[in-house]
Amino acid sequence: MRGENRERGSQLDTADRSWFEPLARTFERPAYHFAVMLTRDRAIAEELVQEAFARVWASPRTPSAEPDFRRWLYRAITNLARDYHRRRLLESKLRFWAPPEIDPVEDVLNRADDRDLLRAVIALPLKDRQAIYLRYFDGLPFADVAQVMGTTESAVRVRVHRALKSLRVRLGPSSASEVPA
Amino acid sequence: MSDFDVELEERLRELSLAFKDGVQPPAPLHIGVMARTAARPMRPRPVLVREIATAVALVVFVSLIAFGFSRLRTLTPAPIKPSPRPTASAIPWTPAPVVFPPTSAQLWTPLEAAAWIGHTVATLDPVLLPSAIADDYQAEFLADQGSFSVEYASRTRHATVELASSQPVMPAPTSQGHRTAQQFRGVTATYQVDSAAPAGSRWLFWNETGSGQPIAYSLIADGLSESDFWQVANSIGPLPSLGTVRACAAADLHAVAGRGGAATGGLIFNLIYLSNHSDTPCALNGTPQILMKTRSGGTLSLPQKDMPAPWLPSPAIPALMSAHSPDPQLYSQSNSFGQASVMFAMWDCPANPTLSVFTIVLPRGGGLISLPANDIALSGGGECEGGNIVQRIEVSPFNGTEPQPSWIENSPLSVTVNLPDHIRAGQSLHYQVVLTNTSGAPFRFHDCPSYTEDASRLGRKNLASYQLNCSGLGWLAPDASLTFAMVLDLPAGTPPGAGDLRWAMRSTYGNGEGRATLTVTAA
Repeated sequence: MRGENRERGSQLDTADRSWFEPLARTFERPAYHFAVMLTRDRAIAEELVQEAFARVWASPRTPSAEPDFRRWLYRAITNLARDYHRRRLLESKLRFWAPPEIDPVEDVLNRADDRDLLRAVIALPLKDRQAIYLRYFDGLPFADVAQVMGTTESAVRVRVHRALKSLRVRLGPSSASEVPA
Repeated sequence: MSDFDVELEERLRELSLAFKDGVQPPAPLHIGVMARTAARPMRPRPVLVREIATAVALVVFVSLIAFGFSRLRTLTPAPIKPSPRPTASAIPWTPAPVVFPPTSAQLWTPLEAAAWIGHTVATLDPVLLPSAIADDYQAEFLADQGSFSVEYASRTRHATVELASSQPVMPAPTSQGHRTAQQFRGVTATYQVDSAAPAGSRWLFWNETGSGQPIAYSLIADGLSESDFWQVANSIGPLPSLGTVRACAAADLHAVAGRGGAATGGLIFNLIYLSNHSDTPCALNGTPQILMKTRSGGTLSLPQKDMPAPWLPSPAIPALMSAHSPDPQLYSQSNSFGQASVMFAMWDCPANPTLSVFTIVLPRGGGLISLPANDIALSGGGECEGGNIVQRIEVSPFNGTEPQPSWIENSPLSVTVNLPDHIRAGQSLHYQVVLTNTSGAPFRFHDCPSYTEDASRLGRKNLASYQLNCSGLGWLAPDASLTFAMVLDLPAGTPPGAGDLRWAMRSTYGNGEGRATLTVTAA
């Protein structure tokens, strides 16, 4: 922990960034999980997490306090994931054949008791998936989800509500009884 | 919200555990992240001229808006928030501006906390810690390079001991308590017993004379008898400082090496992990020299430079290698102190010879360690394109390992929100928040938490953030509660009906949240 550096305020000290590595250690794993959920591809997620950290590192305005740092990092991952999906969309339009649908979370599905739900979450549109992940997988309050997504808290509430409704539709009325005890 | 939604939300939370368990990050992710950041230059802060221009533009913009509004109508001053009416038996509300905690405390065993503090606090001399802390205590601490604070709380009885390299405000003793001056660690210390209770609060303040300026230390306890308190106080002693630990020799060390990962441009980082298999601790300080031998038997003489490693402390802190530190595993996250790593990258193009052996030359005549060079590699990429001749090796200083921090997430205080039956829109809502110590040990506020009240309705945001009025409060016994008066304005346009009021607290020592249903009637 580099408490002194992190207590200096919300802005980085450009001369000494010794506090960066502990924060990187702390947030690599959650950032990777988040990136896998957004990209549905482990290799892309790894690349994207590395790039997000590099961008956060390079920015002179990155906050050094822990919760704010995480928000910046997640914002960087979100932007990169959006760019990645745009590129993929463009590629698919330029090609005669569609790129094969990636399902890198197959091994996760095998482990997860609630596979139907995971499949339904992964099939959600990007922003819905992001909101559901931040709210229920990372347990963030709506206010924090809003800050990561760059929108208002009420907009997030609405999005989560709609995403839950969409999940409910995808799962069907009988799915509630399939929940393991 | 329907039962199905609640059930779905619960399923999602359960699913997150399986997802995170199944999606493990690749082992060299950390190396990849650090390599990528090392290869990325930091952008300078915006130049002053640009910042001034932005500020001027903002002022002009705001002035124009204000001018426009003033033409529309005369501005009436906003209503002043009414002063809070303190509720009987509740701590009064104050509109103190919110200060979010800059960091989080960590939770470890006393021994692990001592290792963290010893590893982190580099500029304080001496760093004092008690040795007479029983095994049933757990330690919460904050530490930086120049200060620390550690609180030991018993898991089996109501007792808390706090030691810090600072002195909080000592409250006046009660009529049955007393404050005295007495000798402690060779100086005159101030000792206070708050009350006549046999295990009441005790305070001991003294100025420790170290190598430099005296350091103001404090030892505070609640739940300890007089003899128990002095047993802890008299066990206080200095942690061994790095200056007194011998330098590691090659014979002490076990090393493994491998390719860490590639950043963009063909740059390859190689890693060496070292552990100490001797019977005594030692320290690795400075930057080693790295020598290479080629498969043809020749020696590769690459000019050595310091690797830019801005993520490491500057100046470099020696790596303390504990006795019998666990053997390092390549690419795995270390979960303990006592190991060290060195990173290096090298270029020899266009020759790019095949390497056979490399040697680590320890600083100050510490000896040589030779390892096969099977798993390390030369860098290439843009620098080597077009037949360029590039010959150099960049080596980082020794860097001590540290485990993943164990931040305190949840406050030991539970939150209960007590609301009136209903409130009319347009009025100030007066309510109470009850904080209860659920930790099983006495609790003391080290910092006053910030809190956020959220009474937002769909389409109508109502958020307020303040700092809790907690200064000067003493110890809170296990299961005891404190009641705080709260005031929140409800705008006249608040839609009538029932909705949540959420009260969330954030502090260095964990977060807490409570909510209750607020029924609003029309204005």
